[in-house]
Amino acid sequence: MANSNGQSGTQPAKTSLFAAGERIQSVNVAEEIKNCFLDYSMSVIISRALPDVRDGLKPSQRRILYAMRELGVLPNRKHLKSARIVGETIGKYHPHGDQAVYPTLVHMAQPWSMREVLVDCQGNFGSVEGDPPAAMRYTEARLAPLGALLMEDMDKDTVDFVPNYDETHMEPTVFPAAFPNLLVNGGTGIAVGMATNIPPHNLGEVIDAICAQIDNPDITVNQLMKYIKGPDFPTGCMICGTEGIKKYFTDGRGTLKVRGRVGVEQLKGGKEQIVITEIPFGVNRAQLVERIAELVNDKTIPDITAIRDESDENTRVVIELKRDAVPKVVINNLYKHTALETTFAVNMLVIDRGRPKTLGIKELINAYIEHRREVVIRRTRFELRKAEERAEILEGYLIALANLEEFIRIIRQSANREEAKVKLMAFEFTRAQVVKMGIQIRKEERLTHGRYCFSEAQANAILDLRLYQLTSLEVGKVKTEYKELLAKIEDLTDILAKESRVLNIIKTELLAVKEKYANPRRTEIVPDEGEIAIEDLIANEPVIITITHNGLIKRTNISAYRAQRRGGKGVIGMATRESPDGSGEPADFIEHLFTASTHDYLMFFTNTGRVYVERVYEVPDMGRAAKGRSIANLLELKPEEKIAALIRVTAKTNAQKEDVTWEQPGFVFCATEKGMVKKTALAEFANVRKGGIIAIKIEPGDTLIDAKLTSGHDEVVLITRNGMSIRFSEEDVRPMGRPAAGVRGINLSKGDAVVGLAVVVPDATLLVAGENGLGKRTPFDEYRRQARGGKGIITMKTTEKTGRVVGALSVRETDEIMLITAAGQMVRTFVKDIRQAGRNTQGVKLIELEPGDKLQAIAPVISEDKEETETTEQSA
Amino acid sequence: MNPATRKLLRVDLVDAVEAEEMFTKLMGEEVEPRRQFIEDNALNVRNLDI
Repeated sequence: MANSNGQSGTQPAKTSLFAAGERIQSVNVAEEIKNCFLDYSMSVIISRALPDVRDGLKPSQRRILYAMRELGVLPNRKHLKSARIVGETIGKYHPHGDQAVYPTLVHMAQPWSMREVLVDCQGNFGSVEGDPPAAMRYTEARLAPLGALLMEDMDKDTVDFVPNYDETHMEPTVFPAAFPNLLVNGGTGIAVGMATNIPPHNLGEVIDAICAQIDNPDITVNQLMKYIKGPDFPTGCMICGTEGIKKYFTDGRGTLKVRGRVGVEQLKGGKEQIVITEIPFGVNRAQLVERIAELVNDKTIPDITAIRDESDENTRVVIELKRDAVPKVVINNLYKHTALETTFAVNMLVIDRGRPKTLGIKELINAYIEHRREVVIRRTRFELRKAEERAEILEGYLIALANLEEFIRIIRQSANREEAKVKLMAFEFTRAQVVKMGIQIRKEERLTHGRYCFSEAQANAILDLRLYQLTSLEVGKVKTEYKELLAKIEDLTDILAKESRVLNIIKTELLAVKEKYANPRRTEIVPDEGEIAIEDLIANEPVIITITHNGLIKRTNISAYRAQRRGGKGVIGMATRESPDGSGEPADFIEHLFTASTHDYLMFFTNTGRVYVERVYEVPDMGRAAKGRSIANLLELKPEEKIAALIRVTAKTNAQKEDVTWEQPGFVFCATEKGMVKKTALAEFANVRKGGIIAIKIEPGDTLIDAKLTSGHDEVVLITRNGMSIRFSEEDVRPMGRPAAGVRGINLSKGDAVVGLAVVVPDATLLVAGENGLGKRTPFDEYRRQARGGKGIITMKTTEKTGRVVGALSVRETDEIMLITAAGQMVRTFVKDIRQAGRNTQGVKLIELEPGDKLQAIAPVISEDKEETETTEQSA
Repeated sequence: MNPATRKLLRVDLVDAVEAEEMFTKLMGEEVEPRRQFIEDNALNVRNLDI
């Protein structure tokens, strides 16, 4: 109708699309979409996406199987090209694309998709890795025994048939289903507004449960669970916990935790490797391996060194570990981060009597029993009808044989078959006559006016008799067959009359199926051990953590160090990195030394005022002489950042085993080289990102020198390089947020800098050490409390002999300390061996220094037995 | 499609609010109202494609 060429004036009246008097009906768009949507959604729900409760098949699957049966590709025949089967299915029953039908056929043949395959395939039908099957022109298929079993007795009028889409063929609406396919193979499907997800089960177990429910229709779900332990996936794997199983057994919905099977193999040299031998149902193995590799690359699971997929027909994925890795921790991480653990959300939505319903296991079994009952009854009726028809014919024979001479005479005298038939049918016999001929009158209706007449079928059968059938052998056969038939008719009639016999037949047939096809369960059901915290897998033990000047960090079990006497030379703590050619490059030395328990948290404060938090067990565990790993591997430090202080925060859990470490009271007290101090509540550090957060704002030119954990009512002492100190209450410093810069702590003279921050402990002493190995300790009482921000008082008389102050510690009589020299020598010594001295003195020799060596730092050591009694004590 | 015998249906927007609601219910993000709608109207289906 568009008339956009601008020449509308030249054209006469526009021709309308509509004819004159056209019938046009208006419909509301809302009403129209509603009806269209309903048609679509109900079609999908009823006849596409959801399985039938009776045979567990969706229409497309049923049509393929039926087409295969009609093609005669039974289990004992030769395989047939998949394309033939797909073509037959599409052409006769399922007018959809082959891209939809072929994958359905393939799915029914994949042993890792179906607990019991319905189709037996030949050729490349894809793999559990997720790669696609070969095109249908290459592959071949035939019915698997169980696929054929679904359709057993179908030609005995057991199920209803309806015309196909173009009414040229008939197709079954449902299969007789001689085994409970719905529960055995499960199924998934997404309809509109609803979806189904039914797990597969073990054939033998399901049959046992059905038999139990036949015997006791009021059986409880708990009793059923004794027979069906839970789902049985074709890929094996494990289900954690029975709660989800019970839930979906009861009302059709529940969530299962499915885990792959993982083992640990010992290798030569004490190394271990993890081997995945089963993967959860529905998980693509190639994608799983890819995902694990990804996790290794972004360092989520750093303990993995290599991953190899060694699978053939059986899954075998090998994961190599670092020497010091704990396999259990890695497995736990794999469960947590990959599809090695998946949840299977069960929703047993099925089509029951043309309606979608979510059913529990008992209702599903009940529906199956009902279906089988109908099948058995219909089959029995069919067989009875056939038997009676045959018995009728045999009765005709018996009468004919008894009156052979006469019948032959009649036939010979007849002009044609019609005449013979009419003459035969004119015969009448009394009850006594026929009984004498060996005929049993089964129904009174068979007699007309008390007489037995031939039916047309009988007359025809007599006329069709062949001469050889008149031999005495054949006559005997007829008599035997008739007798057998009579017995059979009686039996079938009895079955129809007795409900219990029908149920017994269902049971017997199912048990026969079980006998022939049941196989052991593959999926193991294990108790749910709940969320495993990493702490549960790692022993909480004391360790020493060291960080070198060049940024190498490690932890070492504390027993590797032994206590020595004051003045000794010490053991080599660490092979420090010497400058290779003495070119003036400084050698590496230990800068921080720290004791902690493996479960504790470590707060790493950098010189730029940022903080990183790690668990102690994440620090690489290495021997006493090892250098350690680069701290950059542990923390994501920025290039200019160096670690200035460490705080150990003792891990704490509440009664529910929840981590409440950061809810503990306390403050982080920071001091900078230029004398600024700040305190911030511990709770503010609860959510530290992997990339660190700011702990204190550092002015340009300043650096953070130390951070301590305080109670909020402590007193602190700042010690400077030139031997000055100031003691003040931390209450003078109000708590501030993390990004604040703080307040002045000490007024420094020119050239001086803060070197130490100590927390006052009433019965402790302040240990101050000079760079030439001299040190002394002085009771805190000798330091009077001042207001913060002042110049302070002398704490050590710094001379040529002592050198400048390198550090200060708050120590107790029972403590031990570690002295570290620039050359890497370490001496662990007892505090009680260091004499107490006045404030303004030089002290005694703490360590024998090699010529040219200097004391680098002092650090506290908490001995093992003390650790146990003072777990809440803050170190550092 | 013989103009003499055919019947044409003209789809009109009668009530924009009602139409909007219906489209949101049937084609929106939330599943629950859609499921409810299907259940409520399951018996009003005109023709099924089986």
